[in-house]
Parts: sequence; structure tokens; C-alpha cells
Amino acid sequence: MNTRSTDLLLGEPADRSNWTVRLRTRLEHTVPPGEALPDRQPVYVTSWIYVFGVLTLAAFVVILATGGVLALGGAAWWHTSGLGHFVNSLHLWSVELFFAFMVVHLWGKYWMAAWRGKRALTWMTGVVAFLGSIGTAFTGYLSQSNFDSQWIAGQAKDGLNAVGIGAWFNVLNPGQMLLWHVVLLPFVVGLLIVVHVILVRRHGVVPPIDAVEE
Amino acid sequence: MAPPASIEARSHRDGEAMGAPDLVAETAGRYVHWGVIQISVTNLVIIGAMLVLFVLALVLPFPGSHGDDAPKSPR
Repeated sequence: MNTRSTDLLLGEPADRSNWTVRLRTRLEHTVPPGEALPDRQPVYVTSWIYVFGVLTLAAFVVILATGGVLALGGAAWWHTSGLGHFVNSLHLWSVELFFAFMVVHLWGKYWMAAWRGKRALTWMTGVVAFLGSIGTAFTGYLSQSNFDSQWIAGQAKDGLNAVGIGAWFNVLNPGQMLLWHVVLLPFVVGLLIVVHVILVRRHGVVPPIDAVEE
Repeated sequence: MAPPASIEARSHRDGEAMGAPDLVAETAGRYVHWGVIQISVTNLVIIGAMLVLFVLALVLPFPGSHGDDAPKSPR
């Protein structure tokens, strides 16, 4: 009777050549124990300027939820029914608030040089998420399926063709723009936001410039 | 092959009707011009409101905060 190879590993130290073990170890070391969802914060966090990050996150959740409802109903629903108009407006105004909160968050973090203390990757994931959000909003305006979206596409095509990406990113193709808006870009922006928040939890909230880091 | 005279005449009439200047696009709103800078009043007001929000976030006291007397958290 043959002995299975896994039987020999029971009770032995974790095998570092096993990718599951490496991934588990990496996850355990990414955020220090107790820091993932802390119930206490440094005293300098008691300021309104530290609220705008989570406000941006809250607006993003509303955007995803209302976008999901719009996807269920479809363009005819959001153009013709009262409830469709309402959800469409919720989607638009949560985007407006998302950008307003994100820009105030950006101003606050810029003026306190939030990349200090090995937080450069936190800063850069925020920058790229901001740029990705602009692309997501742009493809959203192109997906309205009205005269406004046609006008924006007609105006944008020349600029995008001039920089040579019109063949791959065709703003006159509403099907392609809708799929970029509801699948590709939200996935990228959502992933960047998750990494951004994990990095904030890993390195802690940046202190004001004249404060001692706790 | 040329279209029948009746069709050609009807298309001319339709063209004249569509060309009537009774469909005027809405105005694009008010704009502020300052040298090469051109911005709509709406966008200017929104940017101003965000700046006010930023300043208020810096100067308004946060509920529950007690200045420098607050206990330090053991992070």
C-alpha cells in the first residue's frame, strides 16, 4: 500500500515552496494584528479633515449600489420611469459627491505631505485611483444613451484619435464604452481602493507635520 | 434612376419644413472669462464651495475632541 505524500507533511513545518503557505504568510504580515479594523485612533485624527477619505469610500459604495440597480433595469428603464430617473440621479449625485470628497481628501493629504513615513505607495495608489475614477466617470457620461453622451463622444473622438488610442478605445462605440464603464474600470478602481485602504491600515494614518507619530 | 417627380417634390417640402428656425438650442449657461481662462459660473461656484468646505474642515472643532488634553491612544 502506497503512502500519500500529504500524509508525510502532517505536523511538519509549513513548506515555503507551497504558494498557499506563501500567500497566507504574506496576508498575515500585510496588516499588523489588531490594525485591520482598529477601534482606537491617534488623537490627531479627531479633525474633520480626516473624515474625507471615508466619505469618499461611502460615496463609492453608493455609486456601486445604484450602478448595479441601473444595470438591472437598463437604459429604457432609467430614461422612462420615475424610479429609474430617481436611481439615475442617485448615481449621478453620488459621483459628484465622490469627486468633491476625493478632491478635498487630496488637498488635505497633499498639504500634510501624506507620503511621509514609507507611505509613498499609499499616496501613489490614491493618485492612480483618482485618474482611474476620471476615466470611469468619462465612460459613464458616454453611457447615458442620450444626446449629451453623443455630443461628448463626438467632441472626445478627435482628441483620443490624435493621441493614437482611438482604434482600441473608441468613444463612438457605445457598447465598448458601457462595458469599460460597468466592468473594467470599476474593477480596477475598486481594487486600487482596497489596496489603498489596506496600506493605510498597514502604515497607520499620516500624522500632521508638527505632530509626533503615534 | 431618378426618383419620381412626386417624391422629389415631397422631399423638398420636408427639407423646407425642417429648415425652419423654430428649433433653437438652449444656451450653454453663463461663463466667466479671465484672459485665457474660461469657466462656467456653475463650476466656479462648485470649486468655491469645495474650498470653503476644505477651510471649514481645518478650523471647525471635531465633536468629542478635547484639544491637547485628550488621552493618547496606545498605538
